[in-house]
Amino acid sequence: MLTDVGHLCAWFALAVALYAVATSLLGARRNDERLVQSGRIAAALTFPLLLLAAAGLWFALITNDFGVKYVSEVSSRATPLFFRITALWGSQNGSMLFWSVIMSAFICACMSREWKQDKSLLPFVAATMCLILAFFIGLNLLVTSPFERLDFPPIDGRGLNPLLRHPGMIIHPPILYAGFTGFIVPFAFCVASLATRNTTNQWLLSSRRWTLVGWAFLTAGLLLGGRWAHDVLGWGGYWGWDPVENKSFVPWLLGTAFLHSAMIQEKRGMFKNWNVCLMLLTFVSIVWGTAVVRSGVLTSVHAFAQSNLGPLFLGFIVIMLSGCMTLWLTRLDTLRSDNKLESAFSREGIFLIQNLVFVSAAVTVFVGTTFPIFTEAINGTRITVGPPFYNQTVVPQLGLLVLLMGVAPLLAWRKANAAALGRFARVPIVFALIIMAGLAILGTRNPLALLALGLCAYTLAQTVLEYVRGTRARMKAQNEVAPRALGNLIRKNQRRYGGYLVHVGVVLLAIGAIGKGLFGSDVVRNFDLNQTVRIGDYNFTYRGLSPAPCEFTDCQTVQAALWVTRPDGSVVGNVFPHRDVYPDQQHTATIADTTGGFNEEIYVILSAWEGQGENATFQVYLNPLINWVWLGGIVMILGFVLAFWPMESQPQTTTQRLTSGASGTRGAGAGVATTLVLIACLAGLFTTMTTLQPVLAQAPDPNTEDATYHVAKQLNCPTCTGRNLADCPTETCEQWKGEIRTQLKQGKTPTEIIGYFQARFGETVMQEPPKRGLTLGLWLLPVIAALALMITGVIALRTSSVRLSSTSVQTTGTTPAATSKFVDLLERQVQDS
Amino acid sequence: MRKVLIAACIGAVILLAAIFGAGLFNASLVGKRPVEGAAAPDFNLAFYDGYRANLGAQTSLAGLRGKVVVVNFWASWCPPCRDEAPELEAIWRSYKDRGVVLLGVDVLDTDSNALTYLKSFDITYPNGLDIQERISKNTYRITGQPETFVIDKSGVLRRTFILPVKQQELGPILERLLAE
Repeated sequence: MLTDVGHLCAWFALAVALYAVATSLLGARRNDERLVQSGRIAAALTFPLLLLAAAGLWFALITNDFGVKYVSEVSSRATPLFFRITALWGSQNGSMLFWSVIMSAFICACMSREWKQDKSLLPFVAATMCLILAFFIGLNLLVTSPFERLDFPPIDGRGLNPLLRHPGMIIHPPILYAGFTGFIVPFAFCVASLATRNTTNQWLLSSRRWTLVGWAFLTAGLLLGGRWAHDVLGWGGYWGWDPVENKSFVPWLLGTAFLHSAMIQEKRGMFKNWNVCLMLLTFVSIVWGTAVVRSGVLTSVHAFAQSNLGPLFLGFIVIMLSGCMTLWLTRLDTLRSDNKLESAFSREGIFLIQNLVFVSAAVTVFVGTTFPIFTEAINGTRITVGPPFYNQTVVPQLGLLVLLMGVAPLLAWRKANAAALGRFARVPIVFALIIMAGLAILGTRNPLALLALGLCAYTLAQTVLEYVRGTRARMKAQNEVAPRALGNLIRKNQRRYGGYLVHVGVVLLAIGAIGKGLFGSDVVRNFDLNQTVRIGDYNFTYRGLSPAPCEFTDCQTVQAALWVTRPDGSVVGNVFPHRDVYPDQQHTATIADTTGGFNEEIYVILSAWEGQGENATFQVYLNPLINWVWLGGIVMILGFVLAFWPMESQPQTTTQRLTSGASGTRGAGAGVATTLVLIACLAGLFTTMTTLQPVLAQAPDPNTEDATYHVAKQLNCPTCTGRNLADCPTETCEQWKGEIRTQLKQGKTPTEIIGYFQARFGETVMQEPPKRGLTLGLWLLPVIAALALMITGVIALRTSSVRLSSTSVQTTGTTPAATSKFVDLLERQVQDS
Repeated sequence: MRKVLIAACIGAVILLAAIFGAGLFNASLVGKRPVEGAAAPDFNLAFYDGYRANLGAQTSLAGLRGKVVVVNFWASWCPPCRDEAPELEAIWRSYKDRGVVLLGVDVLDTDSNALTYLKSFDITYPNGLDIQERISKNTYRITGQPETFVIDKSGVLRRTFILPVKQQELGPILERLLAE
């Protein structure tokens, strides 16, 4: 009964959303305030209605109403209450509803804000958001309804997919959805601004905080997804360049580019056109990503069951894209920059370069993700574009971004001074050289690793120095003590110093990625009972296999015990990797266990065993610095909080601000906290050097199993999508690995073996698509795109950077940053000191 | 300049729609097996040494016109295929001299494993590897192993089995097709 009420509420929400579109547009046309307000209220009303709809479905899930088809598919009597609640987003139909709920929450929050200044934008913002929401609700109700009833309810349901029973999976989808749908607000403001031919920065300023929220959720969602993959999928990594990961990463890259270029528009009145394009593209890429995954166009570990959503999504994307482009093309004349780019060697110039790199990286990921669709349509071969492609194309671009992060803050607006740049870069360069020399002395011989870690050290030092310089300037100018000066510095420039903290997080994440990527190792070892085997710098002793209580009632668990010690006998820890078998679901989950210190994770998987466990095979991953990825992620989110958290309760005059006691204390708190985070990061960097040493000291083991593994890493599992042969436990893969082993014993080279597999099974089995024939296009397209972007960037900037430097003072002068005398003083001091 | 931009925009929309459309097209082909009652798609199969019967090194489906053909897709790593293998061998032995050809199409397999498998079930009917999955994936669009297709003397697909076949099930069908 309550479920039916929920169903009805979903229909009401659809009707109300459409009503909001109609009245808003009519109100704008007739200039009728009452209609506009009615549309606004209707738009806000979608949230409570959709929440009731979700409550209806929750009721069915909690009360085990298997008459509802969706409930019977994702829940069962054995499913714990907690997972029955989270089963709302456990499969396609429910998660579509949940997606709409979150989107409507943003719409409701946005409609409830103060609209005095943006009155002219309101009807178009409401109409844009509700139109998109209506599409999703309509699609949900008409094609993939979670409320569909069965004529003959089963006694029990199928239960939740075991892979989804993980804390990371429980919070990962809601947060990621919030990231995607959060961008609807800046997108709607952008469309409204174009629709009303508003040439000011109003849309940017009004949606600024919303963009930050969307971005933070997207970042957190991606990180949590990585954590889930690390814990549940049993492959030791955190990012596999899977199509679904990629489709979330593209909007992240575009959104991050936008966050940066928006600053240039605020400050200098430039990049107006570019910002509009970026925002439109960001949101289109979100809808595109959702569409390709939900309609089964891309196959991946995450793919939803095939559905008939495809053509409707295709239609929506074409209409949305055409609408956006028409609006953009007809408003080009309103998007001219107020200022000219005076020199490429300036803050604006480097932001432009950085933006182009972001977009180029996004295009590369997009090409890699969609190229298999083409090859399959043309010759029926579904190639797999795996990590090797992205490591060679996207990773260098991300490295360049890390470098730019350390250079951009040094360049002055308009035209930078090379001598000053050299002075500012001296200390971080020396720091980086010390780190590199230290690493080399301790045993690192990999030039790429030295260069990459040196780059991270440089950028980290440079970013930390930004705080130091600012604090010193403030201590001098305001006569404040250090913590207070730092606190006030942050409080007065929250976005800037919050942003720098995000940069620190990115560097830490990069260090983690370098550690795992360049120093990580993984081996497969067979153990007899109580046998000790040395792997890397650790001794592993196998202590046997035993049944263990499973976390859930519908599974059986077999658990292995391994003791890990150092060669000197000191205990590192015990690991209990296990295998959960879900007979009802015909699913086996291989769950890893980990131990080791903060800087080196030991990640163990139980691969196979014989009899009662007299003999067992384990896959052991040594993941140096992987924890830095999570640490970096946390620091990134802290940076967002620092940028976002309202520290100033109400607008104050400059004098009030400088003398305000209460917020001063709060500012000092923030200052102390930031200092602690920064000190911890630097201390960590030094400890990194010592922990890398034992990892690097490991001599390669000429064991056939490792050689087999090495070859298997370069091939794909033929029956499961996107998984490499080495990490795949299926029988097919075991047989293929056996073939590799046999051929190696016969003296064949890895290249010959890979050639054998390619000849027999085609390019589908190659991890790295060959650079010839049709797949040559995959490698060339990103290069062409990067070149085209560069040319377009230069042309667009030259043609749009016109005249009127005097008006820019008016337009950009409204930003708080520009009016703050203090910031000007700081800028001068930073430039002149 | 404006015209260039308009053209670029239209191009972008068409490109994205084409990618999406191609993806939908690909997805729509999954599991689209040949239709029963229509001509069975032709293919070439090269045999494993020792598993040619008297068909030579390779054969095409078209070359077997006039005979009733049973095409069975299998793999050595597929457990249900093991249940089916003795049944198929029994069928072959009873019908090989009556105008029936049984073709084993081995999917995603390695030579050594395939040959061990064939030997362990004492299989004598013709068997070969489906090179680059051209038959299984691109032509017959099977969704798993085993799958079996029965083709009549005129080359028309008459029956498809998605699950392991049984001798009692296949026998009567072959009798009927041979009588036609």
